[in-house]
Amino acid sequence: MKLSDLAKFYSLGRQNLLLSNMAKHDPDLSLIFQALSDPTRRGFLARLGQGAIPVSELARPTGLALPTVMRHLGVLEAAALISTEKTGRTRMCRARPETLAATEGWLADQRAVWEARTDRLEAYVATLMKES
Amino acid sequence: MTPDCKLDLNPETDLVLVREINAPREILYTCWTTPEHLVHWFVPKPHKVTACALDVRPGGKCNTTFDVDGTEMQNNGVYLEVIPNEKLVFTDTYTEGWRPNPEPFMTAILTFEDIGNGRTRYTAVARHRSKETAESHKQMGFYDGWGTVVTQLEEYAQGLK
Repeated sequence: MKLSDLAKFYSLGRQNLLLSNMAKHDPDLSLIFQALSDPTRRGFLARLGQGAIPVSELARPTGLALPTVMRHLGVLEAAALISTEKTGRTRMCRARPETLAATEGWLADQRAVWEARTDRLEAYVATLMKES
Repeated sequence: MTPDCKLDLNPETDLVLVREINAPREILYTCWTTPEHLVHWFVPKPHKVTACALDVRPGGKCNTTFDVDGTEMQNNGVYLEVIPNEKLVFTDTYTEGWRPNPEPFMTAILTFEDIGNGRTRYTAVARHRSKETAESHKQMGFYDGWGTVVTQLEEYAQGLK
């Protein structure tokens, strides 16, 4: 799944945004970006964009061990991109597209610019200190 | 509490970023005030800083030029407050010689707080003029809603590899 394909997920989120009036929600962009930086996790999001499914079903096509899958889901959940809920013996996973939708808007764009800039500053400074 | 918590913040137009960075504040300040350093991290690749002139004193110019997909973008402003290694305030409301900018956008307030062990609490506050100005600025093309977020995302993801 390409990052640009997340636009579909995002448009889903836009409807939710209107419904849930989450415009004031302040997303933690660092967590979101970190969660989305992994292709496996983006794959999970793409699958969940089609509807909620149990963790076991989400894991099956990947061939990954369950603990690995749970770790990835933990990262997505921490970023509020998904939610999980145990019903009986099954853990259900669902997307929270409103989180991604909350990253839209000019101020969120500015925040993304500053977050990314600070990431680069931090990385650059680390290189400088290693060299000296 | 950071010094900037004292600021009156408008959630519609202001943003605050606080990060504890594993580097002395002198180095972070130098990265912000020296063109040779700034060009390395200021804009995401493949965009480039093609020119950078910093006259680090109140009223001194704070000018950078970006190359964004072949389009040159000038970001000219002035410093309003300069406390070496501690604080930098700059704006694009004026350019050098206190010439008013017809389309001002923001004031940035950076503080570098020594928290010991060579670490710094870095705080960036960006105060924007108004939601409407910001929206029109966005329509100028550089901050393109979803596109920008995805772009930033890709850059970020590449940086993590």
